[in-house]
Amino acid sequence: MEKRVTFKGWLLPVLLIAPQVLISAVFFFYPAGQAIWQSLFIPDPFGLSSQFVGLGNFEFLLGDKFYRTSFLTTATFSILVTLCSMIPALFLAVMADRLIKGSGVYRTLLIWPYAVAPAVAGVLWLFMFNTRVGVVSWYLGNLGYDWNHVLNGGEAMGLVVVASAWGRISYNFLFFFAALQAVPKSVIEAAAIDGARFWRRFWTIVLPLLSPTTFFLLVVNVVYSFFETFGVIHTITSGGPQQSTTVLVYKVFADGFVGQDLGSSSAQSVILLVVVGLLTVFQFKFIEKRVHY
Amino acid sequence: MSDKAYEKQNPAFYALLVALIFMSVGPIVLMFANSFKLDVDITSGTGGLLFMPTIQNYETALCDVLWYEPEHLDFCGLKFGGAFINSLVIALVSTVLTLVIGCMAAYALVRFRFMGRDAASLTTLMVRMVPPAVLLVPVFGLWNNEFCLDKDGLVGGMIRDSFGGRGDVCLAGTHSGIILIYVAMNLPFVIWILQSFIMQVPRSLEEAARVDGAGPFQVFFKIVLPLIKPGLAAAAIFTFRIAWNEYLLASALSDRDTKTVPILIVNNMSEFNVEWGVIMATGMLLAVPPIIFTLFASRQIITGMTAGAVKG
Repeated sequence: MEKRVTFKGWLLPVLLIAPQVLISAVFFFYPAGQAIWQSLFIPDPFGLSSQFVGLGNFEFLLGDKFYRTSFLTTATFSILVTLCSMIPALFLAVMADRLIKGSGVYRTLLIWPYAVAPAVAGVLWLFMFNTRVGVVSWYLGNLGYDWNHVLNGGEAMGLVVVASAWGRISYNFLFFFAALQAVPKSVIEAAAIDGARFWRRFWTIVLPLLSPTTFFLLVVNVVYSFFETFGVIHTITSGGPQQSTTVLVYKVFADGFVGQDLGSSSAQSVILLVVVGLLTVFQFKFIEKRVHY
Repeated sequence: MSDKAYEKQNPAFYALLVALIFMSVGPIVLMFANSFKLDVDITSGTGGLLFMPTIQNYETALCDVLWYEPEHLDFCGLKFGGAFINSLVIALVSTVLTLVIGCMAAYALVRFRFMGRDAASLTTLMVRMVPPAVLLVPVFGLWNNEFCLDKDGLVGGMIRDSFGGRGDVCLAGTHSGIILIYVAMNLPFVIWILQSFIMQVPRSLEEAARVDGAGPFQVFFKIVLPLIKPGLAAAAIFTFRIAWNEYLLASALSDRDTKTVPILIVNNMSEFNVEWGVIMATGMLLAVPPIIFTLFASRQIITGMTAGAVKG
């Protein structure tokens, strides 16, 4: 690493960093520790006492059919959201990069969904697909398709995925667009002179050059689909018909706040923490190594 | 690009492009149009563009801040104005706090060598990966039961005497409670962005200032701060957007007087009577500040976001 300008003394840096450490410790690490501690207990229904059960909560969870299904639901949901938000974004960015005129207009139009709150996005898509008053479901009904995401788990999942991915497309688009603009023109021209057509050039030159951006977006979108989609799921399906859209985060909320099973909810939090930790390590160890140019 | 000239544009591309843009803007247009419709028009099924525009929904939404009483309303049940002010206070205060604390910490981490620097850096990275949602239950418990001022204590007693209230004064249900958790959860990302920006400040500039006799504070305010403005803008937008739109933690920690707009909107949808027009109007009002924000600062956001992040 390059040598940087540094100052001597220890009081000033400690003073500068103290507020951050303090806030993180009191409002982040302490609750996290509390989650781990609570996961070892089962409180009684009135919250008056709690019984130490060791790893009993975890044991129960791992044997619970619904919890294991929730893992699968989360995986499906995250993969679908990531794909549905990244592929159209990449496509749009490539298009916008080819058309020189009017790319500013796209950018302005496309950034709008990013500004809409997840909860409102959920309400909006719920409105469009509402079984009684929705516009889209009305047209689908005219085409002979009976849309009912309140009964059909697959449709509920589709709706939640689209509503979550919708706001992310613009975000991903901005990154892809910026990265595409940074691809050196000489490389592409050289390939064009050698006779490579557009898609050939895209696959062999542009896409590898985009890999750092793609990796970054992959991480960001997976994290998003895990943790920020609560508002969407809560407003559209509340966990869905037969728990078909109950992702892990939603289950933490449902068991903890609706079901008042605090021990199990804390245990789920701990499992979620472990999953995220593993995911992070995996992403940075294995995928990042393959990203290069 | 120079190869555009001999690359023929396929009309199918345009069609797809239009379709995708329609998909991203369409719902917002739909929300905008429906916010001016009466519920009768919305539910009539025709879904057309032929309707009598009315601002009745906006009147209903804003009834607690309007200076006149809307005719169609007997009772002002929806306190949108108050929720909007709550949202604004929470989002702005938490953004400012996050930026100030984040700036200090990032500068210290980049420019100073001190004991525990690596540990501090590592914990920041760790916290960035911890999803705030998993802390929901403990946060709810702590905010309600432990982070409280005793009603018999000095400060708690003073607050009770001046504002009333019977029990202990707790963080739950106050603006500060929500602001603090937002600051805690946004700090790592902000520090991460600002760190990469501060590192990019040319070393020679700071050395020159040091030779001229500037201390750490002068170097920071005169050299570093002007140069990391795009980073600050990106970080500000990021934190503002999260704080403005966040649902899960705010729904758990706010009470009747401190709830933010997203919660108001969702709570307003009951099972049997959904006033779609009012919901669309409130949704539109909620989306306006971030849209204005992004419109004015879109260039800075884009440069800021990408410069901070694409480095990988």
